[in-house]
Amino acid sequence: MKILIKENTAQRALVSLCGELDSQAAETFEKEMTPFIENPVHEIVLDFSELEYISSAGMRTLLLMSRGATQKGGKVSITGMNDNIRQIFKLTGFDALMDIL
Amino acid sequence: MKRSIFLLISAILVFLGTLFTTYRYMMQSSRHESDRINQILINEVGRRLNFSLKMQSNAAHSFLTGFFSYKFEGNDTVIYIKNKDLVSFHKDVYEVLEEFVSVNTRICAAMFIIDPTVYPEEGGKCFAPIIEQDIPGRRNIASNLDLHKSISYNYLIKTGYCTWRLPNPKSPIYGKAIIYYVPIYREDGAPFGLFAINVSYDMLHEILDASLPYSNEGSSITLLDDQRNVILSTRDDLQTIDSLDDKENFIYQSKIDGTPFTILTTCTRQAVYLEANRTQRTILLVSGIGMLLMLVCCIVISRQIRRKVLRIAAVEGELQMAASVQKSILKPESLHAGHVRLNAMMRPAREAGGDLYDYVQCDGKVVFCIGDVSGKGMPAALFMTQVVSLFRSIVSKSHRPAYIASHINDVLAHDNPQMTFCTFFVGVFDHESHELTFCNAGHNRPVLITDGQARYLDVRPNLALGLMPGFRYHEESMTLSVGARLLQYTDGVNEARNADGKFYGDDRLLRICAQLQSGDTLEAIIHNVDRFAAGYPQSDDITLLVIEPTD
Repeated sequence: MKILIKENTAQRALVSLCGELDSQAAETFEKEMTPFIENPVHEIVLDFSELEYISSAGMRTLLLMSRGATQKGGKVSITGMNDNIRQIFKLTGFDALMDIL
Repeated sequence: MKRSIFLLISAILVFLGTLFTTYRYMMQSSRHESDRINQILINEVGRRLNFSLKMQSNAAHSFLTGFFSYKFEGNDTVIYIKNKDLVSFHKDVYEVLEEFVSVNTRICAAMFIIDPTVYPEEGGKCFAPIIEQDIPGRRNIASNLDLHKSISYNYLIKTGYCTWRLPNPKSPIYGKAIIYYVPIYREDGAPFGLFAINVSYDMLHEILDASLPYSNEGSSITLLDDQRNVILSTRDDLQTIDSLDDKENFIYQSKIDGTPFTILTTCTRQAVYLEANRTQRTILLVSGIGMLLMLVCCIVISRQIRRKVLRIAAVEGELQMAASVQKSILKPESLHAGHVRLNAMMRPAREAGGDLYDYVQCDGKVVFCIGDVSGKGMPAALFMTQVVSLFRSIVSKSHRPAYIASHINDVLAHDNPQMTFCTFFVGVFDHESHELTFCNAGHNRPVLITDGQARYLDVRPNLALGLMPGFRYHEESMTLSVGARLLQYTDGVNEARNADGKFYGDDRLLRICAQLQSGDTLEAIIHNVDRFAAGYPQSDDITLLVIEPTD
């Protein structure tokens, strides 16, 4: 999986995920995103338009990020989700936990 | 580690063997080189000595031809004085000697020793006129000598040989000069006497010293007389050759023809082997450092390998343990009780994925569940056992799927910093009414199979377990008549992959489900998945559970 940081300002970070967010990629993703979580940015937007697959480990990472950001007064939202992934979010009830644009 | 030390020791042994052989070879060739150099040296010194002495003896003979006649008898040359010259010789002897000595500076003295029978006017005494280079004056040095009793004189006269000899040890020039004797006769063959020239050792010294640069370091050149006494040596400390230690030195010697001399050269072993020893020390030092580096490398590499192996073993052990934890808690794969048949099947991935299924029978009902914990390995396996334990304990209190899900969720979500979650489908089947009540907590939709048709059941989604305490789970119900089957599965099935990275997918699953005959087991589905994956490794647990009402 590729992680592209497309925008990084004091207000907003736009991070694009390409490929597959499986358990290995989830570890990398978690590490890469730690600085954004630690130094609260107003809003972290994850662009899922190039994401093809997400595993349960990937979803857990999203939850951890979301919770971490919320605790620091920030916010994580997801945009550009494809139908398959949207379906998974819906089935697991994650659509209610995450801010999906 | 042991093996690397063994390798290292073998390398050292081979190296030492090679070094020893090389050293032996170098010693040998050094020795040969020394032999060669010394042979050349001896030849050279001999050649120079011979040449120099020949120069002097030739000078003597060319002087003699002025007064004496030479006649050749076979191989021998006889030098004699004509009777008519006897008087004039007696008169002029000092003069001619003086002239001879003055032009031959190398000759330190020239003399005649004339038989007492030749000049009666000498009163029957030996007449020995001598002219010396450094001492002026005309002297007759042997007037008291009884010449006929001298062994040397008699021998020389008898043989007629012209030779270089050492002086008599009692003579004052002994150790300072050597003498060239020429026997001379009278016309009738009677002895006339001897002509003698003295050549100083200084000349010999010069020859030896001039030859030294041709030798190698630690060498010396020594001249021995026919009694093997040391005449001259470039080594000041060498008084007799007995003091030479052949353990310390290589000794070479050779007699010089036509002279009473033997040339002896010595060469210290240390000097001969200097180069070999120096090279050996260098090789030892360099290779010693190399060996040390090799040893360090061996140790470091073997430690790294050991650490890696231990880590792999630990990971491998954890993987197996996780799988066995998972397996240990699972119920048998099939149940046939009352009016229902339940079949389950789980095939864990190499790294256990935390799949689960379980069922409990009670009060004419069967309560079953299937689930999938997020993540992999030991944490997922432990979380899975927790879910199963919670399920079993709550089923004894309630048969309401929503309540069961809510209860498990509350316990799990209460303390879950890692946000591990479990997708979970729980159903309760009533044997009598064939009513199936279920709650889907974030799990895949089940497949309903009836009359050769299969479709996904449109279930109401709920949040996966463990994430939000107090979440309100909803349940639904349906009637599952005889002939219908409800299949539940985990994402290890639809997300199985082939080498191209393609997913098995929901559609393929529906198709194989539609083809299933009533007797077919869950293995038919797994077969189909395996055929699709075509050897590509299974990355997640595959779990299937089917429930089927019977008459």
